[in-house]
Amino acid sequence: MNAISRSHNAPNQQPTTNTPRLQAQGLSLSYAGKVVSADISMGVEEGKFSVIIGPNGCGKSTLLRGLCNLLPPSAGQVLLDGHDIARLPPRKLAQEIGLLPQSAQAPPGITVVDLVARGRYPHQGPFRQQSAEDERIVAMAMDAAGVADLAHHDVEALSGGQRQRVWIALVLAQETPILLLDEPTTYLDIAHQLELLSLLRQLNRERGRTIVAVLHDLNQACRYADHLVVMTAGKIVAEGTPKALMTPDLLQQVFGLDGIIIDDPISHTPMIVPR
Amino acid sequence: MTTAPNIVLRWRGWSLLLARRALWLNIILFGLLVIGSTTALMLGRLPIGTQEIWQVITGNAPSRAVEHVLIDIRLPRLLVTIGAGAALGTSGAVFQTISRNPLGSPDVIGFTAGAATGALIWIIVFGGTGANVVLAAMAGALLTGVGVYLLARKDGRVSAYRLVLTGIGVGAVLHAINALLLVKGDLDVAISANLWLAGSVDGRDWGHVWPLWLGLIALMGPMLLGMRPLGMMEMGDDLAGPLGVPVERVRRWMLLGALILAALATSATGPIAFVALAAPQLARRLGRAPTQPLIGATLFGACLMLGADLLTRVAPFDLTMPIGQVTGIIGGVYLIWLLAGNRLRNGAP
Repeated sequence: MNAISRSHNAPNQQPTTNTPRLQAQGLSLSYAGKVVSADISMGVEEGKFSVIIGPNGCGKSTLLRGLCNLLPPSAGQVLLDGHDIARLPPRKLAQEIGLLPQSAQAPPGITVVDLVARGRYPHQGPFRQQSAEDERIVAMAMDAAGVADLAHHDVEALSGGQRQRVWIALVLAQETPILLLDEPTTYLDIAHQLELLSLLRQLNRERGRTIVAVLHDLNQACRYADHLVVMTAGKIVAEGTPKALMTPDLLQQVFGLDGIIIDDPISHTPMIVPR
Repeated sequence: MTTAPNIVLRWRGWSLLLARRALWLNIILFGLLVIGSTTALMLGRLPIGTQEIWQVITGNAPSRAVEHVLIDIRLPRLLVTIGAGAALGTSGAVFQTISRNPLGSPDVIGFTAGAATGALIWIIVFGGTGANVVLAAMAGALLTGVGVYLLARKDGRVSAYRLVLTGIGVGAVLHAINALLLVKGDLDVAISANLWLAGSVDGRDWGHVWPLWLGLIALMGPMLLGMRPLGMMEMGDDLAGPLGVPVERVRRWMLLGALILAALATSATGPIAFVALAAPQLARRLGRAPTQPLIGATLFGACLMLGADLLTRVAPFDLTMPIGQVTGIIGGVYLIWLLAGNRLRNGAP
């Protein structure tokens, strides 16, 4: 596992590291017979926190689903270390790439610890149902997501924010080097949103996890992302660091938003102020 | 905190996770099954005691008559009863897990009706009898299952919601066809067809036992293995897929297995109401299990069927009710309780 700590590097001083492990090549994704995104080629920045932004319905979630083969491509392919992920055994793939989808249902009556333990599935087998290591990792994941003291509570009885953190704990327990999150901050109030994004950054910096998240809030995206991926109408229109990318022009073109960009006084990242 | 809800057994690299409460429930159910089975073997016009049963088992039958009644009449009936209950319970557990709906059982979503259509066409149109009715029912159920699966498919996926609704629709059509067949058919034939439709374990012989039990023995292993990934799918395909579950493949094979089990049970006994619906729910609720316990549902199915059979035999007023009606009455009461208790929370699609 890549355990290099990058905690002391500011985002844009990071060395432009190793070649991407996860790459899309000419990827086209369709949904119910309609092409949502066509011919996307991109590499997921290794060891970085990338954020995908773009207006509603531009294919952000679809791209995430494509990147973990939840949605098989209608053309092109996604490569992990040079291998087509559609041909990898599902369990093998699930040891490398994790996804937190937008919608997930907790089985009725399940406790937090049992639900989080399900994240260990790709590492288990029919006769390897719960090793001591699994238990240790589940405890760690609950700790990291801040739900350790809820371990024996019924998931249904939790608040929306607590529940979301339980789902985060589940994908953390999966222990994948690459983590994809589809709008992980939905259902959370502003304090918990920031807490979650800090947690993701920490995982990225301290544990070397590659993270790709879809976020709606542009200021949050600029603040936390090492790398921004901007999408419109199923295509990637720009990629780069928030500082290099965020311009009034881009705002106008992508979001149809008239605004100015100022320097965030705390994080010194671009901050969008609509006019 | 009280005792841990789970027991983990570990040996070298192997580990098994057992839910404590479900384990106890299974032990109790198994005990009930043993007691019920013994009672079922003793009940009847020729009284047979436990001692005589033991003598027959050890090969020292007290008389020809006892041996004949026990081996050729009561044992096959018992095995068909238990086997059909187990198959229906298992099948119901799988269907309900796939459809994420307590009402998504094989009898609600049209498969039992399909089996009946197969049997009715054979009895009424072709004047068939005996063992072939079993095959016709089997074919009817399987065709219905494949039909519902294909109709419910969209973009290579089968959603739980579509499966239930399509199944109910197909079931309604088949029920109508069944009624039409009964009306159109010759009166004598219609009466014999109606008998089959009532669902019964009377007069079942070893010819009914073998296909049912061979199917059960062959399918239980794969079904148990498949239940783990299927339980993951209760969290939604979007989560289960990236966790390494080959979602569509698991769903397809588990559906096929459950369909065969339901078809085997229905072809051996005729349509039996509510066992497939109630057994998994009872196992889940009494076991307080977050995922559908498969063995619990299997055992509960067997117990319910056996209980209903015993009830028909000791019923007052000399009522000879077919078992299918008894389970229907019990099941109806259970369903009302289920609905009245506002306990369909996990069922709302």
